[in-house]
Amino acid sequence: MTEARPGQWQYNFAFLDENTKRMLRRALLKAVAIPGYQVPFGSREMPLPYGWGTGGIQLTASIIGQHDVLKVIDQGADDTTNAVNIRRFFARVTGVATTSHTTEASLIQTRHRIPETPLRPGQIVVFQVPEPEALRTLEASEVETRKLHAHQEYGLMHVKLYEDIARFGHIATSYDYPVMVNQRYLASPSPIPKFDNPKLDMSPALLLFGAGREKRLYAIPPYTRVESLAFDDHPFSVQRWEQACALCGSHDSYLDEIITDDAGARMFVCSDTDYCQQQQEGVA
Amino acid sequence: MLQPAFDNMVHDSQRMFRHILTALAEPLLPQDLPQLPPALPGLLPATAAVLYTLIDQDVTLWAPALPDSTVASLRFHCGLQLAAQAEQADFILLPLGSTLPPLASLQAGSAEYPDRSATLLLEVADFTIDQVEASGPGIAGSRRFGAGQLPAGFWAQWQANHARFPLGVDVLLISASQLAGLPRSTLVKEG
Ligand SMILES: [Zn+2]
Repeated sequence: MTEARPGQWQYNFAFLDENTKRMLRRALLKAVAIPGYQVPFGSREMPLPYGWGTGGIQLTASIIGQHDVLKVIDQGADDTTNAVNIRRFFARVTGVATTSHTTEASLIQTRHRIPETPLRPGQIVVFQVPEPEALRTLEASEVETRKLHAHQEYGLMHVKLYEDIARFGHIATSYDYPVMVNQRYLASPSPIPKFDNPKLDMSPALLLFGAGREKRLYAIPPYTRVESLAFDDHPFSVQRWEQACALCGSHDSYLDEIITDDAGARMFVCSDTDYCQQQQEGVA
Repeated sequence: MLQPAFDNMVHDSQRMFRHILTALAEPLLPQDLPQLPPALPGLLPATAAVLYTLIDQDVTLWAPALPDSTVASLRFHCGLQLAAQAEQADFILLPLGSTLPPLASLQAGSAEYPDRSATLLLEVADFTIDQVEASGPGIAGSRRFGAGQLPAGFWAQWQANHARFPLGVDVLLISASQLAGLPRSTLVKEG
């Protein structure tokens, strides 16, 4: 059962031992049954420091199989250090195929973005989550936040967002914008831009969230209502740009501003590098 | 006599887990289960695969009397811990034709920890009949469903179970070679 290779120390398929995988798998099933609710899990030490996506890695390790095709992105890009390291890690400990193309992937691990290319039924997205508790900045105690979720008492969050409106004239939160899942649990969508929030609603893909330091996971099943918090007089809205992407010309994608020379010249380009490339090739 | 389990514990249990995950993520859509391990006496072939995938020494299982060889095989392969009473078990296994314990008597979790709840492994004959219309997370619109030889009164009890959401039990409906998930989030209408 242990996959031994010459010249390497022995490890199990996908690194985690089978007991740890089973524990995570049972927790995942409960997470899917209670959309948006944070399931605690026992954690095994991973060969990466927290902040490198240990929660996401543990979830991916517990679900990945020989026939999966894995894509890993960080801020929308497949070629950042974090994404490359995680992709290499799984290629080494599973031997699965990897891809940068959203359409080819059966399993996508991500930090900070949801791909622009629409997800499809059967795909699974694993989000790396630094802080799973949407209410944490408002209430430090885990005992108290558990009670707030139990009683569906989310007034604090509405007050916070409304204070934004009073102070800035709009809701200033632009990342990790809180959502209501299945009209029951307030949840953090992880630090994705609020631009990506609408993609969570009635997604055809299964969305899984793993927080390694906090040892919690949660899920949004496919075709589940996910609403971004809003007010009647201040409806939810996403970021928009006047420019198109300087590389592919897309008007529909999330753009990053980059500085192109020492004089400080700037341009806007897609944060999703695979999408941008597909657009440039005229595929999509 | 001990029965052999999966050919390859690591890969077969991973594949089986993905079927179970998909079954709960897309409720009441029967999943085909190719490549099953040999059946355990008294149980359907797919049930053995579910048990090998989910059960270990960290959880308890309650079942009505099972053949000794089946208990011995599960002890050997999974470190099976039998619960004395269904009300305390993490998993409840009901072979085809069993009487359903009241769903309301099983572990439903607490308001703060609704995940600390039972999972019912319920054997059925097949998924070829039409009994209910289901909706909820994982179902785009609505879905028709039925299962042969369900215990009497199951759907009425299910409605009460769903009404307790986020508390409640979750069910895996298991036929000889298929599996359908029924998470507590699923709303079911009879007829
Ligand atoms: Zn572009």
